[in-house]
Amino acid sequence: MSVRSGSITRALLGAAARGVVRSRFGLVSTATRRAVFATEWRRAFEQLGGAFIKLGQMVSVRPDEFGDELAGEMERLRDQVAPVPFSQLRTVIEESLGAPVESLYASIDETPLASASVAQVHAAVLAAPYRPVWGEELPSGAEVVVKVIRPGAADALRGDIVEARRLGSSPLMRLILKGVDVGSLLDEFANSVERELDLRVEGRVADRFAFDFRPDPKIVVPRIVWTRTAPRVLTMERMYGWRLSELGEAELAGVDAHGLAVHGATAFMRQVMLYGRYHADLHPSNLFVTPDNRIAYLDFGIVGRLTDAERGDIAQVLAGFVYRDADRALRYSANLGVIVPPDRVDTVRRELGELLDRTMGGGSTDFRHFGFGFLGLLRRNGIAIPGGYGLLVKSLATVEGVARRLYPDIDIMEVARPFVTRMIGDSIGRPEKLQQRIPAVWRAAMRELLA
Amino acid sequence: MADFDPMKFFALWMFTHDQADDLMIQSVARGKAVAGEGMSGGPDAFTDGFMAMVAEEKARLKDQIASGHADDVADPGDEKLEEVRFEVAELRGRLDQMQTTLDVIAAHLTAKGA
Repeated sequence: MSVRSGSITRALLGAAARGVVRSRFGLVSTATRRAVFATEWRRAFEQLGGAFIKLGQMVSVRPDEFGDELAGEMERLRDQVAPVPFSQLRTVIEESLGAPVESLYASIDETPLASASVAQVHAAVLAAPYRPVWGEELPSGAEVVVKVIRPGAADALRGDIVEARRLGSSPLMRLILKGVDVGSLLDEFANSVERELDLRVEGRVADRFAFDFRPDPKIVVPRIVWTRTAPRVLTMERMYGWRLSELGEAELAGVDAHGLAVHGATAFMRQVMLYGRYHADLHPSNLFVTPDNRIAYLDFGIVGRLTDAERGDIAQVLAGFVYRDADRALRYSANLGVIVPPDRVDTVRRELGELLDRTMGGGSTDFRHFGFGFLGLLRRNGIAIPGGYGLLVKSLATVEGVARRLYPDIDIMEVARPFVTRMIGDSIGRPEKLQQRIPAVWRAAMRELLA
Repeated sequence: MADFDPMKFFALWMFTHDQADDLMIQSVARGKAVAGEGMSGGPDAFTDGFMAMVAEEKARLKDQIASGHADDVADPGDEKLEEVRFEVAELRGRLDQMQTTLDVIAAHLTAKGA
């Protein structure tokens, strides 16, 4: 057994043992037990670092698979590690870009702006102007940030994934993670890690987001400098402002908090229902509020993608939620892969109706409680939840949380209501939709008239 | 069959329109209340919400006509052109990055040959 393998086994077994003791050998309530174990797993993942930080981040966006306690706890995972000396990164930059750092940038700050398990970020100044894919030219002397994959990070991550596979197939872990398809989950995880290790993927997503939001002066996306970018190095425009996680009352006083919260929530809905590409790793550290009242998106590590048909179905499901129409929500959820067995339809419809009335009625809504309650309802009824569906519900709940950081009284469903109504209204006018629906409309009208 | 009675025909036509108009007005009124606590929820709530937005659109359209800007609509051709512009720009970005990779390889080869 390697040193790393021993550390992983000890950390995970230690977490399990502490969980058993802290939950008084299962004598506490189920909710308390789950909360205790979730905290212990999160601490163990933080202690292990490397791939476990990334794995925890993936767990945090999958409440459908792991339950909302663990997903919620993993949101608190801190990806902050001690920085590596700049001399090590200099080697990575020079190997990747084929020239001395001094000739690539006018200057680079050797003290990092941020240091995470996979990459480290340094401020720099462009030596030559660059015309980005979208937006105005970045002039010579423009402030940029250089994100560099830490030396050895790729090998460490891949090694941890091998270890995670070995542990995941052990009888003890299978017992702990019963019901979870560990193999396919780790396959998905390994794919996402490989994408994250190639920073060009993130750069291309940023370019596309900049294009999608081109008519919106309130949204800003950093411009990518492709002549200073390689798989292990990403150079992009530097953003100034406050991360949502560090936004205090003083900063909030200087911006239009309500306007930005509404705009941010609408921007997310546009990503999902208009563009079919959405930032699926939104959390308060990935969003900046700029001093000139704009929202800056950062870090495009996890991006959800949707087909045209899925976008339409999602708009309908959301309309079902905001108008408390359980039938509509379930009918279109089926198109997205949430299949309710015939013998459970009445129960699920009734429980969903009750949940909607409890969380989305009475003048104030709570999408987080509703969304996680809905996923729990499906799980209780033995209904499989497709990964994309769970990710979307989680993302919407996160958007609500993020918007409430800006403006605590925002009602996310009030923002969603006109948006989805218009989306569905617009879709009615499409010729293929008319052709599909008019026969049923005619039959229904004639049935009523001639009844 | 009795002879065609234009008066009765138009009366029925007007009656049908009156009824539909009343129903639309009621639906719009319910839809406007949707934002408050009065929304009952369910399949009709969506229709009412939709009709309220249609009424808003009608008001906007009337304003546009009154101001003489009724033809100010986006040209779908512009959208297509923007998409192509982006594709070309994205390609330029990829070429920039590939040129960097080529430079790195060339530098390595030169260093080896030296």
